[in-house]
Parts: sequence; structure tokens; C-alpha cells
Amino acid sequence: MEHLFTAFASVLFPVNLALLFTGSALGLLVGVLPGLSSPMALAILVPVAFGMEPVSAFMVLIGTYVGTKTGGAFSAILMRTPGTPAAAATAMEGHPMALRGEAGRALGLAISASFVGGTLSWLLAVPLVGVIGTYAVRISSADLAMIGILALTAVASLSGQDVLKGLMAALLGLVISTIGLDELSGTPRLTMGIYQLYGGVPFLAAIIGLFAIATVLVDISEVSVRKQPTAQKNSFSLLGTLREMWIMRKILLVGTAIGSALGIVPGVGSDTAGWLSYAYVKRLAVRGLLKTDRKIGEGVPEGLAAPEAANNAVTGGATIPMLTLGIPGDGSTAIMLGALMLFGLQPGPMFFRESPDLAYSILVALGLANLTTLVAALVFIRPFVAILKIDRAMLLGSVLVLALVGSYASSNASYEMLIALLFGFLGYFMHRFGYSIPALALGLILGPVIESNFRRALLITRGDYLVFLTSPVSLVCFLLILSLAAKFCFDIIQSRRRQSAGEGPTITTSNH
Amino acid sequence: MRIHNVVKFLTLTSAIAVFAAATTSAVSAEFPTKPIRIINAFKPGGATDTAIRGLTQSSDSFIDQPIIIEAVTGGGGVTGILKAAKSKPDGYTLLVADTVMTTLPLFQKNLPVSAEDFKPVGVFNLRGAWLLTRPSKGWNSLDEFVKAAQAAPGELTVGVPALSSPQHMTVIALEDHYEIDVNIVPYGGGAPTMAALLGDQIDAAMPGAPAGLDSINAGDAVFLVASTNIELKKFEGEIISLKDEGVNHDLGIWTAVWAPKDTPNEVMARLVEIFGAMATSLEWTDFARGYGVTPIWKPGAEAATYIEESGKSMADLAGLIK
Repeated sequence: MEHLFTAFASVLFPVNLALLFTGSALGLLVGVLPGLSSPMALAILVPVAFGMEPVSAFMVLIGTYVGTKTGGAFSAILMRTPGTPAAAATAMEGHPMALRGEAGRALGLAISASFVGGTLSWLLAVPLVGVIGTYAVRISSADLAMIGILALTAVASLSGQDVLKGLMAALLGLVISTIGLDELSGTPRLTMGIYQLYGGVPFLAAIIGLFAIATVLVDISEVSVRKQPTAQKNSFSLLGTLREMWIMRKILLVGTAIGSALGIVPGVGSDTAGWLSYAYVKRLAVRGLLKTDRKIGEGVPEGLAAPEAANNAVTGGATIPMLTLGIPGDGSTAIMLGALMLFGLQPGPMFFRESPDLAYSILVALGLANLTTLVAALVFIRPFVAILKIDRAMLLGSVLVLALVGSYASSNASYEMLIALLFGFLGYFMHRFGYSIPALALGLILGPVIESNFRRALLITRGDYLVFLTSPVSLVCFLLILSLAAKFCFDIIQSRRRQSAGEGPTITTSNH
Repeated sequence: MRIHNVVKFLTLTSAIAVFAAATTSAVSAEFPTKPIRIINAFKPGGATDTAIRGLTQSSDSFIDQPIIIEAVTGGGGVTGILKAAKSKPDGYTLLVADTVMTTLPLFQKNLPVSAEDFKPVGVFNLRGAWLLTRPSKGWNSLDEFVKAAQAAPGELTVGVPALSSPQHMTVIALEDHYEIDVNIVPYGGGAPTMAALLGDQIDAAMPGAPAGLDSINAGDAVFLVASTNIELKKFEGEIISLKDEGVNHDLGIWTAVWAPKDTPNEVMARLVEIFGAMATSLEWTDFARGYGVTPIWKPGAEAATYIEESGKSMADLAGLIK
């Protein structure tokens, strides 16, 4: 406790606070630009930070890390181009809101939800520093596989308008995710001899294609019918946002809980957290439990707030195993771990005992970074909303350019632009025929998690499938998966029955 | 007045042009005259990226041009390596790559690029793989681990960061030397491998140093053997290498700077000079030891021989994989 107060004092030192703020602003910018990711920004910053005092250096790094999580929402809402894969779920409701002239409201909500999610997960994580770390390593490969399958089942069932189409999209995502070298045998799969595919389908390029380029294609094909978004209601009011946050407090809490929990689970992270909490809101909407008269997909504010709270809540869960065990929860924390080592510090069990000042300062900075990011983001709203005043035809061109540059920038390899375009066309046709793009994206994200952990678990037990039922985590997941599967069957049978009763198919046409 | 200004402007521009031309021709004798780009084919922030950024941080003490690290990822590293191989062999585009240059072709057939397309400028750092276990297992030396493995063939699980990695080859070397059979489980990275060891999911782990260093110092992991002779700043115990145990393989994880194979000899000589200066600078050696790797410098031909030997060891061991 005493260390925590000393740490607060050192972080609140004006220079450190200014560095934290600078980091947040920088992170926001990196988050806004598709293709620039948080690990990339951190990798570039580490040598710069190496010249500073350790505490100051970590102010910049932590600020950037938290800032990118929020920044992704800007481009997702304004252009339906997720700046980071984690913000893809935010685009689903955020962009329709912007189109009907509520960009300011949507951004305000996204930013405040991010703040709430990040801060609550931090408050949750700090007292549990010791416990979370030890628990995180206990999660076995079998548990990870089951968590992955559960997440995929939950989202696939809720993201499409038709359960079967949702599952088909998720399966297609899984198949695409098997492309590349098999991690457990080293054999190339479905690469067709193209060496560029050895490392798998480049994930960021695929996401940019599915969300940004597909949107451009859809918009072009409908450009005569779609109206220019109205700009006059785009203003943002702090008071209004606060009121809205209070109304949807329960949804924010659920998003935070999902994010914090997935942050601890290694390798699942913020992309999944966003989708899972979006699925939760969607489920509420389907049951008519939301206080809104809008349909999901038409800009429901709750569907934007939940994923934003969730993807920021991941930061709390992911950082603690890094500090207490020296085991990073995601790519960004892996780089910060490297930075700690550069300073001659070894994060891990001894870290809090040997260098409590820095360890607690990092912990405090993580909490405060949510605040500095909030302030920086609020300043950004007004200039960014102006994007919507640009003529739609011009904006579409710019989005396409930005998307292609983004897919190139993620790896500096030009074939990734081709991949983005291919996925753009795939996304366009999926949209036309009512297949869920999020379900496909989640299949892509979770495919490697599920497959490698599933096979690793069997490798360890020499093929004993009971391993997926014996640990408490696995068992709970298994039961939840079963109940979801039962629900699908029920839904499908019911819709068939209605169909034969002459009520016509329940498959609604696409929602634009 | 106006004409006067135009004349003044023209004189000034031509003066600048002449000056620029003069200085360029004067400096062109001295390589480099423009920024040097080093391609890293693996993810930013990884061990290779950290190492090269650490090495080149002192570059401005030795050359007037900046060194830019460019991450060209994808294709399991092939994309970046190929891009470097295809670039103009003028010394301005280099590659940084580790042991993967010798292990990649062992497992992937028909690759469009190989180590043959490059000449090493020099090997600048060395890491070891080390075999670790948990105290609760009760094995305090490699001997005790081997005995346990002999008692239960195929039963003990050993985590490695990736298949076909030097870490994997080190386990194969142990299996071969002691005639044991263990269950090798790839974990997709050093951190997950350590997590699995600490979380009681595997019996032993073979991560690359310095991963696991703190766990050893804190008493949560027990050191058994290292793949090569390395020095570590903060490690308190004695490092026993495979050679000490009578295994005839040196399986260090080295990192080297490479140039396309047609790079002219005089440029190569200059590159060796520049990178040698950085690799022996205090900035780099301090940085490396702090990070937990061993700073070394094997220039040009010496590096080529070293890499060839390391490659032979890896190839021999790869042949033993069942």
C-alpha cells in the first residue's frame, strides 16, 4: 500500500504526467490509422525510451499502449475502417450512428466507455496482482481450446440473422485460418506453393479488406440511394454522454467483465473481447431487452459501448501476468517486457520485491493512462468529426487508399494489398447474401488459438480426449457450448416449422 | 529591383548546386553516402529486432548516415529475406537474421531464397537455449532428468518455443546423446513455454535465454543445462553447457547482419569495419548484457565458417527427427 502511494506521487510529477499524456495522444493517432498497430508503435518507441529514466520511459510506453485501444474507435465509427482489429466490433453500430448524423455522440460514447472499461478493469486488477498472475499460468492448453470454441460458438450464433449462415461464415473463417505452416508439424497447408502464405493469411490485411474495402464496395453499389450523412447533429455533449453512460451502466459492466477476463487468458485478447460483448448486446436486442426502438445493425448505442469497454478492459488483465510472472498477455505487453529487460530489470516473481518503485509506478500509470487518453480523445473529437463533412464520393476514395496503405504498412510487403482486396470482394458478397462478416473474422482470429491448443492438449495427454472435461474451466465451457448448440437446434427447428406453416422464411434481407 | 532579385536568386541557387555537387563527389569515396536500410524479416519487438536496434544505436559515432530498421514480415520470414536478397547489392540494403537462415531450408523445400544468396557481414550476438524444470519435480541436475526420462520412455513432456528451432534441435541432441525419448511439445513462443512450465503443464521447458532467467533466480525454475557457452550478467548459478556434458554440438542461437552475395568486396570490407565498430562498442555490449544475450563479434569469413558449422549441427540433428 505504501509503495502504491509513493508510486502515485512519482507518476503525478508534472514531467511524468506530461509524458503519459504525450504517449496517450500518440497512441490515439496510431490507433486511428489502420495498419499501424500498438506493438509496431511500441517497437519504434523502445529505443527512444531507452535514453530516458525507466519511470519516464514507461509513462510514454503505457500511454501509447492504452491510447491505441481507444484510437481504433475513431476510424471505425467515422469510416467503418477499424484502426485496430480490436475496434472491428465497434464499427458495427458506430458507423450507422455516424451515418445518421450522430458521430459526435458515438465518439463520445466510445471514448467514455473505453475509459470506464479500462479504469474498472484496473481497479479490479490492482488488489488481485498476486492472485491473477498465478492463476493465469494454470490455464492449460485444453482450457484455452475450450474457451476459444465457446467464444466462437457464442458469436457465430448471434452475429448473423440466420444461425446456419452464421455458423457457415465462422467455419469459413476457421478454414482460412488453417492456411500456412502447421505449427505442430511444420507442414505447409493450403499454401498452393505460394511462399507468401507460409506464415498464414496476413490477419490485419484480411480484417481491413473485410471491413473497410467491403464497405467501400457496398457503398459504391448503393451510392445513388444512400444519402450524405447529416452533419448538423454531429455535435458532442459531455453531459449527454454522461447521462447515456449511466443509463447503460449494466451493459458497460458486462463489457468490462468480459474484457478483464479475456485479458488474463493468454493469446485470446482484445479482438475477441470486443466481439463477445457485442454478441451479448445483440442477444439482449433480439430478446427486446434494450431500451431502444432501433434494430441491431442500425446504430444501437449499446452495441458500441459494450465492445469499447471490453477492449480497453483487456489492458488490466493482460498487464498483470507480464509484471508478476514475466509472461506477456499480448503482443504489446511482450514488447514492454523487452523494454524492462533493456533497463536491466527482470519482470517476474521478484520484480515487485526488487524494484517496487518502478513496478508500482507502471501499475499506477496503467490506471492513469485511461484518464489521459480520455482527455486527449475528447480534444480530438471535434477535428475528426469534420471528416464526415467531406463529400461521400471523395471519402470513399480516401478510405480505399487508407485501407490499402494500411495493409501495406502492417508488413511492408505489397502482396498484402492484394490479400486486402480479395477479402474486400469476399466481404462484399457475404454482405450481399446475408452472411455474417464478424463471424468469419472471429473464425480467423480464434482458429489458430483453438487448433493449436486443442492439438497441443492431445499431444501432452497422448490422445486422451477426457482432458477437455477434467479441469473446471474446460468443463464449464463444455456445458455452455452444449447449451448453445441445443439452442441452435431449437431455433432451426422452430424456423423450419414456421416456414412450413406458411409464414415465410425468417431470413430477413440485408439491413441497409 | 525585380531583376536584381532574380539575379540574386539565380546566383544563390547555382552556388548551392555547385556546392552540393562538390561535396557529393568528395564524400562518394567514403561509404555510406545515404541511409543504410536493414531488413528484419520477423516481427517488430522480437529478439532479432531488439538486438539490431540495440547494435545500431551507436551508429552515429561511426558513420554520418542513419541506419533504418525496416520490418518486412510475413511468409514465415521468407518475404523479408527474399526482399533483401533481391535488392541492389550496393551495401545500402542489408538483412538481419538469426539461426533461422540455416534451419528454414531444412524443413521447407523449394524456398525461393537461402543463406547462399547472402554473405555475412558478421555475427554479433549469441543466446543459449536452456533446459529448465520446476523444483517440485525434484531433478537438480541433467543427470537426474536423464534418469527420470530413461525410467519412463516417451512420458516426460518438454516444451519448446517452435518446431525446427535451435531449441527443438537441442532437445533432439539430448535425446540422441542419452538415448532417451521425450514428448516434445511446441508452444509458439518462449513466453507461453515458460508459462506452461510454471503452470505445471509440462515437465521441462527449453526456452532461449534470457526467457526464464528471473524464474530461476526466484527459485521457481531449476536450471539443468545450456546449449552453448554463454555469459549472463544476472545469473547467479553456474552455467553448464552441452559440451561440458560431453555432447558434441554447439547449438547457440546467433544473430548476424547479412549483405546480398554480389556486394562488392570493398563495400563488404567497409561494412565489416562499421559493424565491427558498433559490435565492440560499450553501448552495444552493455545493452546486450542488460538484455540477457552475449555480445560477440565474428566478422566476414570467420562468421561464414561459424555459421556453416552451426548449420551442419542443425542438419545432423534434423536428420534424427522421427
